[in-house]
Amino acid sequence: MNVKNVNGKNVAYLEGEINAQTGAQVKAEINTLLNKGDSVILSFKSVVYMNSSGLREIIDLFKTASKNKKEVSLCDMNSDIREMFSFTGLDKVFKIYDTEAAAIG
Amino acid sequence: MVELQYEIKNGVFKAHINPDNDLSDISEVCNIVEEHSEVVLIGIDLYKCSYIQSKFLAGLVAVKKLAMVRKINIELLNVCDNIIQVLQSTNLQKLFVIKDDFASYPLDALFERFLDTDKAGTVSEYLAANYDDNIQNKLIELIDGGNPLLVEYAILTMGRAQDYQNLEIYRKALNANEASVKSAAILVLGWIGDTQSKEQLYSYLASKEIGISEAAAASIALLSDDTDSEKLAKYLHDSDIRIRLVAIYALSLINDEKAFEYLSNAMNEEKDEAVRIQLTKKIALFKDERVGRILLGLLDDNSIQLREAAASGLSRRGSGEFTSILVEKIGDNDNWVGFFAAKSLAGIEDENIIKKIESYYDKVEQNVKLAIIEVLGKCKGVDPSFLLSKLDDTNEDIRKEALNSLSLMHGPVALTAAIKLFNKDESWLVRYKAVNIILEQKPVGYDNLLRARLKDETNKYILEHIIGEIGE
Amino acid sequence: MLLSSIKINDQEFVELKDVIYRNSGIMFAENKKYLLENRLSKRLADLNFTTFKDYIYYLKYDIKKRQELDTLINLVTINETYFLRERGQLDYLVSNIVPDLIKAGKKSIKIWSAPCSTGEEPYSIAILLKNAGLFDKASIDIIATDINSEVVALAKKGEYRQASFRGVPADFMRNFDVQGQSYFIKDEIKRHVRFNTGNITTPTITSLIGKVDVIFCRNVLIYFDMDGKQRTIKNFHNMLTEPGYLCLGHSETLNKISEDFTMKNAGTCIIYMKKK
Repeated sequence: MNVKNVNGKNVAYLEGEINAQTGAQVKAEINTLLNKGDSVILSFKSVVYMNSSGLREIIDLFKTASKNKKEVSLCDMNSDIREMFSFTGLDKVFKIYDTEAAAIG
Repeated sequence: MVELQYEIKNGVFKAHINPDNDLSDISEVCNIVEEHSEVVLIGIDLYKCSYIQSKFLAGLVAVKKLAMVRKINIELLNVCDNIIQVLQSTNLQKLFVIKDDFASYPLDALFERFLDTDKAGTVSEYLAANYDDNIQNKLIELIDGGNPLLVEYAILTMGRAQDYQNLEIYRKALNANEASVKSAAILVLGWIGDTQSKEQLYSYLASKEIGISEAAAASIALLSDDTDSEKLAKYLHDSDIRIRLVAIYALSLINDEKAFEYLSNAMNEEKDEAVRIQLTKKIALFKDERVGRILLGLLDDNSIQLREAAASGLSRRGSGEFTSILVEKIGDNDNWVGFFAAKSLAGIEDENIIKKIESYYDKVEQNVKLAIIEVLGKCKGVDPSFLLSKLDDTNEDIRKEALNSLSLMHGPVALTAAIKLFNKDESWLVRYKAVNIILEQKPVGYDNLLRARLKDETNKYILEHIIGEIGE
Repeated sequence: MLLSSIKINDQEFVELKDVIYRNSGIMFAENKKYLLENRLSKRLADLNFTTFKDYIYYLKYDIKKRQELDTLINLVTINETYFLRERGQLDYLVSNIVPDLIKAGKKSIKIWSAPCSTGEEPYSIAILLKNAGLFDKASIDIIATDINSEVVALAKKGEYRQASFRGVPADFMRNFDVQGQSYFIKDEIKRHVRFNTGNITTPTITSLIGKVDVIFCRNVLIYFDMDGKQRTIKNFHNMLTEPGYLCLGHSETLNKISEDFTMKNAGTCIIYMKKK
């Protein structure tokens, strides 16, 4: 997972498939990132697939972040991934932006 | 005369205008912005105002001018319908971005918005993002109060705020009388991961009440372990179509190998068209290598809708090993299959294939032509002459799409074309696209170029757009 | 429960709102963009589209475009309503307007609910008039019109859910038959209301409906641009008899729209009366 600093904001570029294992990895790395910073943007631009186990890891990540008053937002999802979030109602739990530029603000 | 209330935080300046919106209020805004160079966004909060004075209105225009000079944004917040009407009638609405800012609302006013289904969602998001003990207590009060609309959104808000303390409230709400409250509880239990509730959720899969079975399917999937695919697969054979449909949804969200096996078997056995279409759409979400071939096979199915769903699924996966078959499908009898087939070819670099795609152009229907032009803009190494020739086409969407594709592949070429077309093209759709290309690339002197167009342009959307971006 | 997932971009928004405007008079302002996304995402997904651009091409080039246009207008003109909404005006109708008209010698009174959405407003009027015994004192017709053919069909059916009854008193429910989660309006109320489809911004509505004595047009003017508002109010002015009563939503005014009405403060509500 690549992390860049764009205009002062941390953007983490997720890749490939988000399932139980890769999701747990993402969660661990982002939690570490949030120990040092206040917010992170997760870019789904290169994410091709996601399943419910992967979604759960993302929810878990969000849970920890909220507890510590850190901000997590998501961006650049393709329509299939967006539909998964919408089917579960999670597109209203997370801050989801269309593009990285919009997420950065 | 009451002093102006305002704050500046992180470069955002927010002024809370007094109910009689005196001219002095808005002059004060200008002064403050001029004094503070760190301001990057001006927010004018009109929450307390039920009408607007004409002097104040003139002052607003002055602030807008100041904002444009400083190249910062200005927003009008919490504008009542009455004032919006005045802005419309004076033609000033296009100058301002209008938004809601819930920070100005007392909590009770926000809860009232739970009663408006179009607005409830945004209020709920805001409350969840600013969740504290006070909000939590008030929401519990709403839930005790029993008005189902308020209870529904109170539960959703708590869930969005990841409030784990109130787990018992969500579990209790599973047995509420109202369907809307039940589905809110079902969703939230999925969000917070209450695996204990999963068993009970299975009983809701068969519910005939609106929204319940879908919510149950979503949450079961979120709470799933490796036994749930098998349990859900049983529902794929239920006599009730609705149940088969939600089971498909849930399995596609679990999205593991077992789920894939169950769904592809169901594809072979299922007879109902609506269910087969759903299967097609959901199978397309799996990563399994066999998916591409399955979808390809479905391109020859009897059902038009199914063929289109399969083509659409392929278009989102990229053509990969099926490129040559998909190129041929551009000429399919069903023009929407052709449409999606063309779209699936984004990213192609092979010159021969690109020539082949272009060769279909004259043989297909309008929508497929448009898909061809669109996808060429997403391929590599395409010779712009094909697209340039389309800038004279009689159809406005062809011209617009060609201009768009050119802007994706060759900025300067597109800019030259845009500068010509935004003045000359007879279709406002094309002129609008051309204006956007000019705004994207911002060539030297672009604002004068656009401003000069204002006196001859007749289309209101283009006028509003140009004025909104660069002023009059 | 399924929430919006497809976003509309700037050019798509401008094109789509123009289609909607030309076919319904409704102008979606920038801050109402989310409404289009909320109401149309499912339709797009059903058609296998992932962008609004694809949908717009479907509307323009598919062989079934006429049908799809109707579907589109139906999806975007749904307006949330419920029984006894803003009841101050409804009560004033029953306690003052209708009795005054009867006192002035009118034997036949026409009340128009436009747009009527799923029917809660005209049925509310019918219930209140019936409770006050006014159907026995004069021949009162309630006409209800909406541009959206689907909501009109629903209104004719008269079946409602919990959400339509927020804040109504318990005894209001005796006007309904209950079946499971649904409430059906009783025939004795239903027969007082006549439904039809129509567009209140076009002049043809005046010949479709004819003359009326009272108009309820609440919480819809905000969806029109100034031109649409003016055309609508002009239609209303032409259609009203004298004295002629017009009831708008509580946050709406005729300020800047029309000079042809006087505003009357009736205590719990505001009513507009036709100027001669």
